[in-house]
Amino acid sequence: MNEQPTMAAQQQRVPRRAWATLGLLVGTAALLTAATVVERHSFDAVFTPGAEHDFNIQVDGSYDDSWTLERAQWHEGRPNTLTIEATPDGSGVPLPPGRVETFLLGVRNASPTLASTLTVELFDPDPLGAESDPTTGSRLELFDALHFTLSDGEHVIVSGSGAEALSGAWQAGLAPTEARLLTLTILLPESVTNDYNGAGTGVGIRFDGSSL
Amino acid sequence: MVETTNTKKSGRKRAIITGGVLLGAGALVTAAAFTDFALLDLNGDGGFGGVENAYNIQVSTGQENTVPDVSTWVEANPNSEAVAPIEGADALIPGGAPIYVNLPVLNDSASMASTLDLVLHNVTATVETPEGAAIDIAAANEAYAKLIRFQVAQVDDASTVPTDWVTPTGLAFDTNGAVPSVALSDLDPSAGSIIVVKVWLEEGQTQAETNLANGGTVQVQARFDGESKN
Repeated sequence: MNEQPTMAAQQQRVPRRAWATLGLLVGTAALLTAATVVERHSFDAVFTPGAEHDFNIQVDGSYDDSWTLERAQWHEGRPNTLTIEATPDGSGVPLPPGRVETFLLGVRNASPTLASTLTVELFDPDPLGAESDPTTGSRLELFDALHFTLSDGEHVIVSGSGAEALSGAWQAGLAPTEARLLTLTILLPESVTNDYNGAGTGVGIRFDGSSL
Repeated sequence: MVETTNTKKSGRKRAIITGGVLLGAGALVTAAAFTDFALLDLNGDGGFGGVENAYNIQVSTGQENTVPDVSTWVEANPNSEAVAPIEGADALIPGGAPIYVNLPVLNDSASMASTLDLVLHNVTATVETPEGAAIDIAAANEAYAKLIRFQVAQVDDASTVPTDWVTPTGLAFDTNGAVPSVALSDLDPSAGSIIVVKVWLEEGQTQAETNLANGGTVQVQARFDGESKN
């Protein structure tokens, strides 16, 4: 969210600006002619939601399986994507077949008064399709081989292979200021073929909200 | 956690700003909603998997005594690599002294542990005995393969003869020309072992059986199989 002036500040500012404009125009007219009385009103009206009506979806998360919403340091995740680091040196998370990696995520409706719908999409930030390593012939893209499960403790919101569309929605949405803890598991199935040895992928998550 | 600017998203940002203006104007005539989104990127550019996390087994053909002694590791996949010459391999006699072959093997995976199995195959090429030859070469090779035995040890240092053998008795080729698979100890990521193969010829049950192997030969291929461990 960009910081916006409050509604109260706007209400004070608009009349002041209007009167100043009127005064200037009247003064100018008086210089041009004394025979004609000119009166013109001009208003600059700016409509912005006040702080109490800000609509804002925020996120945080961790690779630490003891992470809780109380430890969240909420981020906008827009326009700067929030990275949840999993390795100390920024290297890839090893994913041998059969291993499950778990991330805990938080999503919050930071709006003090506006409820929100909530949808989520898991996506590959840099899809490589069927590209293969020219030396080994192995595939480069791993996303399609992964299996994702996103749940909120009560419901499974997304469950499926990376080869499918991975999106889901919460029917109840988010109440004002409500935050939700989500668990995302990423599995490379045992059944994966050797073609995926050395393949890699990024994993992106997008939350969308709309005020109610 | 790090927030990173994603240049691919800049167009989206503009779209949202524009959308905000339009929504503000629209609020005068209809009850439109405000929208917002947030993006997460798991483990950033590192992501998951990748070439640096590939699983790979390598071997050395140099018959070194220790893993640090190895100067060159080779894939030996899909084509085999020759381990030659092997001292004494051309002078085995039934009931005589064994020879020892060191086969260094490395789990070249930076992050994945590995299982390890060894199978020895008889890959002797089929030959035809020239007319007038003193011995039947094919029969001699077959007899030789029946007398050859193997034992396998897994050690860190093969400069002395191993005392503990994974296979307590000598393994013989079965009718398919392979010895039973030998399960070796797992290898940690980036760790290796020296696999010592003890090779000798047993005496035949009869002198005629032993004599039949005279002039025979056998080509043995060692195959290491590994699987990444979860």
